[in-house]
Amino acid sequence: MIEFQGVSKRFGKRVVLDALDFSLAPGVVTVLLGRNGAGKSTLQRLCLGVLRPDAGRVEVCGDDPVRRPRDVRRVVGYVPDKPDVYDWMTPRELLRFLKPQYPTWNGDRATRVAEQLAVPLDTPFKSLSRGEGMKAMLMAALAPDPQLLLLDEPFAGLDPVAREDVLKGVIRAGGQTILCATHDLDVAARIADRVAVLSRGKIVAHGPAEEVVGAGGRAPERMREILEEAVA
Amino acid sequence: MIPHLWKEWRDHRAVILGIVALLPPVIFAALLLIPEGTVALPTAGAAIGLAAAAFALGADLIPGEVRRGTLMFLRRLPGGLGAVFAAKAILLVGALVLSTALGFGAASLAEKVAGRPAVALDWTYAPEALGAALWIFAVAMWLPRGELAVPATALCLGAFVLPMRLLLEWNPGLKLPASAMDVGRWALVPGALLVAWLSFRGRRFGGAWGSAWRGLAVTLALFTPAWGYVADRAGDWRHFDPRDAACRLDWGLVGVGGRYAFLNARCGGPNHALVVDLETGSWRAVGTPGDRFECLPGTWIGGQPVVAHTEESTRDSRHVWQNYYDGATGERFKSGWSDMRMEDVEARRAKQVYVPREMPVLHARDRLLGFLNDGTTITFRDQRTIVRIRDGKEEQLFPR
Repeated sequence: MIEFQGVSKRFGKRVVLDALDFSLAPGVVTVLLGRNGAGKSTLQRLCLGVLRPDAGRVEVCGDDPVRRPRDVRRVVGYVPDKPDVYDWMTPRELLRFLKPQYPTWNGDRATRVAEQLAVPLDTPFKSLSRGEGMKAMLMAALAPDPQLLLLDEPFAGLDPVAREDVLKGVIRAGGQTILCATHDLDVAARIADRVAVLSRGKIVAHGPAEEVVGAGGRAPERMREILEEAVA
Repeated sequence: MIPHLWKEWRDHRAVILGIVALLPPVIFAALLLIPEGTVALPTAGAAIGLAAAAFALGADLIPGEVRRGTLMFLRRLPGGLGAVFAAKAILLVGALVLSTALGFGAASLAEKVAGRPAVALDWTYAPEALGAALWIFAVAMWLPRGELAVPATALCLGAFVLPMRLLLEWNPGLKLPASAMDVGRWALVPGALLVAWLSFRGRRFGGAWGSAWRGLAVTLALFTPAWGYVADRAGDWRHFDPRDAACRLDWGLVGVGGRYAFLNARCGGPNHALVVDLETGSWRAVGTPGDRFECLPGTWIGGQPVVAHTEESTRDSRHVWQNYYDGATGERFKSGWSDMRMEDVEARRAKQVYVPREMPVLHARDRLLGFLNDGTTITFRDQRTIVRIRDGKEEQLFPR
């Protein structure tokens, strides 16, 4: 589903991804863990073709997102860390705006998700709470029935109730291939089939969730251990 | 495309409706106050309308997306940036046309209400005005803030005009054909849209820098042919080869000994001052194009007949720079500012040219015989050649 081979990306002198190799199998929910600035968002933007790798090869759903961005974006849903659509737009208008751009648009699914998550469809984004906005963004990302769902820290800054709502929305998207970037280990523990840990531009650990972050309350310690090992 | 057009309209409808509601009464009231004869009202109204839409909308179409953080949303859409750009361009052009029409209508109404005679819309600067409005849109893409778009556009278009203006300044008398001027002026319109599109595409992978560099490179590529054309015309204008069929010898002097001739000649362009060795036929242009040889008082120095060669440049618009040439050797031996005021020189030219006794004058235009020297006549022939007539035989001395 996603294939990164020797991918490097730098911004100025700062190397964000360093000859990164990473792959993602279909139907698997993978949580991408890493500290702030580890390159999680960069990795996702490379998948969308809005950034170009300095070196290496990226393949998403069988296509190169730089050369064939349309083909890739039509089958990839993306939820940013905060709603970045027009503040005058309502979620319903957002759906209407996006619909013609996706050949696989599934209006029923959008309606279903909106009902499940109680998205206020006719309230402009500027009047929505952060959690409502994120739920609307998740609804818009799921509406085209994407083959791959990219979530870029969608739970950051949400109050516990809103976080739980969004999390439920993600869990209900079951069967979907999901790459969820977060630094929230609880999220990893709840939704991840696999966990990848990104540190210093490289994947330092990648495997089944229980192996990488451990079970139960050991997750934070394990995470710290992994990152410290990587730094060492 | 339709969703994007709807989005653009929805995003900017407040500005457009504001223009529609406020512009006509403001223009109407403002132009009524202008004294009659100061300005052609319909043209002024149309110009104000165009500028209003360009400043309010063109300058903010892309910086507004950056400011609100919505550009990333547009960048990741499957439709690509093409549809986004096309919708923005269509909205802008529509708003420019609407605003211009409203300005024109309001000004025409003001004209009627004031009882002034109807004046037709002056289209003279229409391409420049429309071009400038669209360049604001293009240049705004390179900038983080829309407020900077107008001065940056002025700089950009100034940089376009300046080299051509300088070339024309440095080549007095050089004129560009009206057709070439029209092509250049109208090319600003599609040029702006091309630069805007390629600048916008530069945003696909990055921020303002990528867009600015790409836009500037395309702008440079667009401007270069215009600069090249004017430079080529200037080169032609300055080019001088007396052997060319187009060249004419206007006026000349032959120095003592009859070896060196000091000529004023032109090949369809500015005047060139030539020193010709009549013995060998070799020649050299002296000074810069536009310079000419004159016969001035005071050239009789030390008993040596000389020719004064004056340049057009002036120190303070009243004096001329003079180079003095030795009539016998053809070499320059002195330079300096004249004591004479420019007006005096011009007046003297108008009266008659001072000619030392030893320095014969060839006056091509009047076909006057120049000089008799030891039974030899040196004169122009057909304004193209200098011939020597001796013992009834004619010999061409220049060009050879």
